[in-house]
Formats: sequence, structure tokens, C-alpha cells
Amino acid sequence: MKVETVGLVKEFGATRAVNGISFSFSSGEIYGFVGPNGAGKTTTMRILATLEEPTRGNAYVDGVSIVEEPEHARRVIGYVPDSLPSHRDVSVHDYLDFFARAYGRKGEDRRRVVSSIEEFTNLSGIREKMVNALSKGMKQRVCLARALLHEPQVLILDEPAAGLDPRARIELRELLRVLAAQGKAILISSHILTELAELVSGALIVERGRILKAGSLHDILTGARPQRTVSIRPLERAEDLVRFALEQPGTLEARLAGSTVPTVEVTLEDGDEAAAAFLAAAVAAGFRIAELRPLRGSLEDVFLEVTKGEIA
Amino acid sequence: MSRIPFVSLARALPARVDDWVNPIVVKELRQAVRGRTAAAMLSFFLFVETATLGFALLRSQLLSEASGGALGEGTRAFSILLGVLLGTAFLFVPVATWFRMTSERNDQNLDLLFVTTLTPGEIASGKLLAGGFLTLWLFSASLPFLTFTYFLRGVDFFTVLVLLSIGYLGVLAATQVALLAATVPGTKVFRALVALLALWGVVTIATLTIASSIALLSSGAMVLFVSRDARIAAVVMLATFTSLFAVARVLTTACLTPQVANRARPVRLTFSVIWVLALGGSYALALLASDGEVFAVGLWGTYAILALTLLAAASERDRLGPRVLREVPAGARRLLAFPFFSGAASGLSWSVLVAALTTLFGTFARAYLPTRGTDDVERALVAGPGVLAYILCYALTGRFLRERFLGNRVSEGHTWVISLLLAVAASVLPVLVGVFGLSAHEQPRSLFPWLVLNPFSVLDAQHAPVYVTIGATLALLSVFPKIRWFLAKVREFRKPGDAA
Repeated sequence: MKVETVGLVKEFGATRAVNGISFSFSSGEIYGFVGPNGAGKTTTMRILATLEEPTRGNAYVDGVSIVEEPEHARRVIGYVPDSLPSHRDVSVHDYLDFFARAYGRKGEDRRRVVSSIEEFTNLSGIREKMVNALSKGMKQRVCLARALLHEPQVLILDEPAAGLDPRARIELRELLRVLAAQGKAILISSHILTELAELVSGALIVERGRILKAGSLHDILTGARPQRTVSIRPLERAEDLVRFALEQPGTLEARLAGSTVPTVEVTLEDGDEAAAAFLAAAVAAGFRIAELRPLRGSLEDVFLEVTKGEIA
Repeated sequence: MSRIPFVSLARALPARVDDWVNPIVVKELRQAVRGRTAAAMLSFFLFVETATLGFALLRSQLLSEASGGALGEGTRAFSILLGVLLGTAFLFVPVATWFRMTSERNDQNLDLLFVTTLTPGEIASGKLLAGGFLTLWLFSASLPFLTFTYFLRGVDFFTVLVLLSIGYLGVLAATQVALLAATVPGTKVFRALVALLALWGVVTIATLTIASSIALLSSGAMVLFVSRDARIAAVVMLATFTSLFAVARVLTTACLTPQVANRARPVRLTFSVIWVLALGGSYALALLASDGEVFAVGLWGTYAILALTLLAAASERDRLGPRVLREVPAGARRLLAFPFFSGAASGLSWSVLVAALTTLFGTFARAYLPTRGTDDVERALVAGPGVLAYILCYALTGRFLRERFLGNRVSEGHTWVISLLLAVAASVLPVLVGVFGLSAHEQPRSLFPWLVLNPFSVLDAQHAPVYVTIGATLALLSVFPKIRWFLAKVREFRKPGDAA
């Protein structure tokens, strides 16, 4: 299953909320959607969930246009908006049962699917609790369960981790990993970039409705910098290693780092050759190296580097 | 052996019914059962009904001992019990439905329903049906009390049945009004105003229901079958009730339908059917009653609704998306379908077309009407289109002002507010200038010149032709710059991929 958007544009009056967004993600993939508030993330997700119609452009699920065939898209897409359920006087089980009915599930099939999803999302123990009395984390889990009731192949999650405590976030992350392993294509937006980076295989950074960066996580994180920084932990003579590094061709910068365990951070010209040559030279010069690891730019660094905090 | 299929069928039936019931009804009833409001209301209701019946029994016993009989005591007890039942139902069911819908009607909750297979029509029906079931619940709780009054004498079974049916339909209509008020989009202030208007509607329906119940209780429901006038009155009331109910129902569905859908079509189709029935019905009644005034009422009602549809049409969107356009029929039917689709141009064309057909029909039909009341018909046929001409001018000018100057500040859907403000300002300001801005000797003796921009000036029979001419001129002046836009909209109105 492949989800693809082609030149999506959405205008609200004179405001262009989405401005030519094109990207794709496939089964088994968790794709991150990153951008400042007002960047057009929610609008794009609502278009994919068939709740908005693009002014121009199109989106496809397995080659079928969601603009022209929204009914088809609704059958295969599960959508979790950025709000929590607010229904009063309804238990978790009745809430899920209602949505299962609304998705056209009948009889024994409905009972089976509700029960299995309650179990999968760990809601079985609280199925008789009232929805509006649940904690945020539990409500978010109910939202996810609701989106899974029609067994969709694509999941669109708008800020599912917002306001959750660390435990609830970790549990949500694990659930999403399992769902991806089951072959679902997942698009997730979040402002908690460190956690998103641990979860996604690809990402899209948008601002003012435009794509600033898109691709696999590796490409985004490494592609942002023209050089590579490595962290080296020598067994001794860390200061000598800094001086040695600065004398080597291909070294752009070297400095002492780490307060308890002395390490040296060396910024080299990009490419594996420069790193390999530097390591060989250091060992040949008698430095005993205990550890060498590349320092990647974080998603947060990339985000801050490419965005300006502007709103569409 | 032959019992086995029957037994299995009987066992499977509840599950079948459970699957067949609208999911909204199931949810609403479960919420009502779990919530405290319904239980508290029912307890209070049962207490009042028991106290009332106890009091009636005591009174009946006392009267019986004093005078040897208490004929009519059943009627008295029944009317009080029915009053308590209807009062509780009118107070509880519409309010509970409104409250539930309003609290759940944030965009996200409704969105969630739209990503399921439920249609907006099913959502609206589900909410109404849930209200209907709650009403039935109340009625069934009161049945033992009402049945008991039969033994107190003075009330016949048929009347009881008719009154309960009228009461039930009344509560259902009030619930539909509350539902419509809860689904109307807009700002908090606007929705509060709509809620107040709905409250007035519910009170009116309750008053009419209770008043007609009391009248029927005293005369007996058989009167509906004996008197010709009572039959006609009942049919007219039933037709009016059904029309208003249908309008409220279709508007509720339209309010719940996402903007990207063709939500105007069911509304315009319903309005078209009601228009034909109302105009034809009022004409037939005028012939039956030999009084043209009935037809004049029908004409005025039509023009009043068209004035509202003109304002609403000016507030509709300009561009249609692929989801609407893919429903456009091919060939000659394309132009026939144009007035029934969403979009400002379609809405304006429907209103103007219906106004023209109404006036044409009225002018033609007037010749066959009896002399009595023809003046009213003639006045309606002149003043009605005159008012519409003014409203068309303000609707289009409001749209022009919004597009040109207020595009970023006022949404397309609020164009009617600008049009309305414009109409009010144009009606009131000249009068204020005339009264306060000019000295006494400068002021003209007649108000005539100060009312030329007032849409209702056409009601002044003496100057009506002049006002209508001015209204028509203003309408033409506002339509003229929009002709190219309108033709472009007609050209764009085709299925994606269809050649022009």
C-alpha cells in the first residue's frame, strides 16, 4: 500500500495553508510530519483523511484518488485527529462499539473486532470506565483504538503524543512500532522531535505550507551538514590528540569534550575516506583509541536550521 | 421439528435488530441510560403523575359521596396528566437533544463521524430517533396513569389515542427544531441567538400542541371526522406541520454535511417540492373557500422564503470542488441541474427562477379566482417581487463588498451579514438624515423620498409602483456587473474531464 500526494494546494480565502506538497510513504513505514504551528500539517492530514478537499493537486492511496473516490480512502485510512474524545456518559467499550457500528461492522464480527482491539491497545481492563473520566494517555489510546476499528492499512496521526506523560508516550511509540511491523503505513506529526527521530524511517519538514526537507531520516540528518563530526575517546593524552587532529589534512575542527570522561570531537571533511584516514593516522601515531562514533545532527538541529518559525 | 427454525429465528432476531438500528440511536440511548439526567427526570415525572392521579381519585371519591356521581372527572384528571406529560416531554426531550448535540458538535467529533460510513442524513435521523425513543419512554411511563382515567369516566379511548399522537408529533417537531438549532454553524453569539429563536419555536409548538389537545378533549376527537371545516383545518395544519418538519430536517442534514459536498441539492429539492405543494395547495384552498386571500398568504409565504434563500445563496461558495463536480450530469440535464447544486451562482439562479415562476403562476391563476380577496393577490404579486428585487440588490452588493474589501476578514459564509447590515443601513440612515439632519422647513412632508432604499417600502400601496421600479432598477444595476461571472460559473459547471 502506497500513499502519495502530488502538488497539494489548499487555500482558505486569501490564505494558502498548503502550497504544493508532494510526498509518499508505504506499508511498514512510519513517516514523520514536522513543522511549526500553522505550517499546514493538520490541513494536509485532513485532506488525506478526506475531511478537506484540496484546491489543487491530488492524493492517492494505492493509485486511487482520494479526491475523486473519498469512499475508497475512508475504508483504508484510519485517522486520529489532534483532539481527544469528549463524549459524556459513555464507557470505553460502548464508545468503541458505537464507532465499530458506524464503520458498518455487524454482529459477531463487531464484537470480535472491538474485543481484539481493546486487547491490543491494552484497554480491556478499563472498558467499563467512562471516556470523559480517563487520563490523557488513556484517551489517546482510545483514539488510536477507534482509528483501528475498520482495520485500516494506512494510519494518519495528528500530534498523538501531545500532552502525554513519558510512560504514555513510550507505550504509544511501542504500539506504533507493532502496527508498522504489521504492515501499516503510518504518517505521524509531532512536536517532540527527539522521540519522533527514534520512531520514523522518513520525515517531511514543512513551513508556510511548503516542503523544506523530505526523505529518509538518514538523508535528512546527514544531508544537513557538508562535514562529519566524530567523537573519539582515547585511553589517555586527549589534549595531545586534539593537537594531532588539528595538524591532519581534512580536519576542519577539533576540540576537547566531555567533563568526566575526556573525549575529542573532530570535525572532518565529509565522506568515509577522511574518517578512515584520520583513524589510521592516529593509531599509527601511538594513540590508543577506546571508542569512535559518528555524531549525527539531531532532527531538532535540522528543524531549527531549515525553519524560520513563519506561519502561512 | 417445525418449531426449530422459528426458535432460531426468534433467537437471531434481537441480533438482527441490533445490527439494523442506527448506531447514533444506540449510542444516545446508552448515554441516556447511563446519565443521571434522564433517571432524575423520570423519577420526578412519576412522582408528579402519581400525586396528580391520587388527588384525582380522592376528589372523585369525595364528589361521588356528595352527589352520587362524578361524570367528567376522568376528563379533568386526563387533561392534568396529559399536561404534566407534555410539559415534561417538551421541557426535557428537546433540551436534552440540543444539549447533547451542542456538546458533541465540535468540528473534530463530527469529523470523526464523516470518516466512517455514516452519512449526515443518518446522523440527523439518529439524533431525532433517539429523541423519539426518549419521548416514547416518557409516554409509556405515563400510560398506566392515563389508562386509569378511563375508569373515572368522561374520556373516550379514541380521543386519548388522537391526543397522544398529536402530543408525540408535537414533541418530535420541537426536538427537530432543537436539533437544527444545535447544528447551525457560526460564532458563539450567532448560535446563542439561534438557540433563543429555537426556544421560541419550541414554546410555540408546545403551546399549539397543548391548546389543540385541550380543544379536542372538550369536543372529542370525532369532531375531525364530522365537520368539514375541522377536516380542512386539520389537513392544512398537518400539511404545514409536515412541510416545516421537512424543512427543519433537510436543513439539519445540510448543516451537518461537510462544505465540500453538494449540500444544497437536497435543500433545494425539498424547497421545490414544498413550493409546488404550498402554492398549489393555497390556490386550491382559495378556490374551495371562494376567497383569494388564502392564495395571497401562500404567495407572501413563498416570497418571504425566497428573500431568505437569496441571502443564503449570496453566502455560498464560489468554487465547486471535484467532489461536487463529479455529480454533474451530462448533456442537456447539466443546465437543468445547475440551479439545484451548491454554489452562489446556482443558489441565486434557483431563487430568481422560483420567484419568476411564482409570479407567472400567480398572474395566470388570478384570473380564475373569485372576486373576494383578489386585491390581496394583486398586491402580493406587485410587492412580493419588489421586495425580492431589493433583497437581490443587497445580496449581490454584500457579496461584491466582501470580495473586494473584506476578503481576509469576513468568510464567504458570512456574506449575508454584510448584505443584511447594508439593507438595514440603507433603510434607516436616510430616514435619520431626514429627521435629524435637516431643519424643519427643509424636511419634505412625505416620508416617500426617504424610503426609496427600504425593501419594505413596496408595501406602501400608494407608491408601490414607484418603489418597485426603483427596486427593479437597483437589482438590474447589481446584476449587470455579475453577468460575466454568472456565465463563467455556468461554463465551469461540468464533470471534470468533460469537454466544454
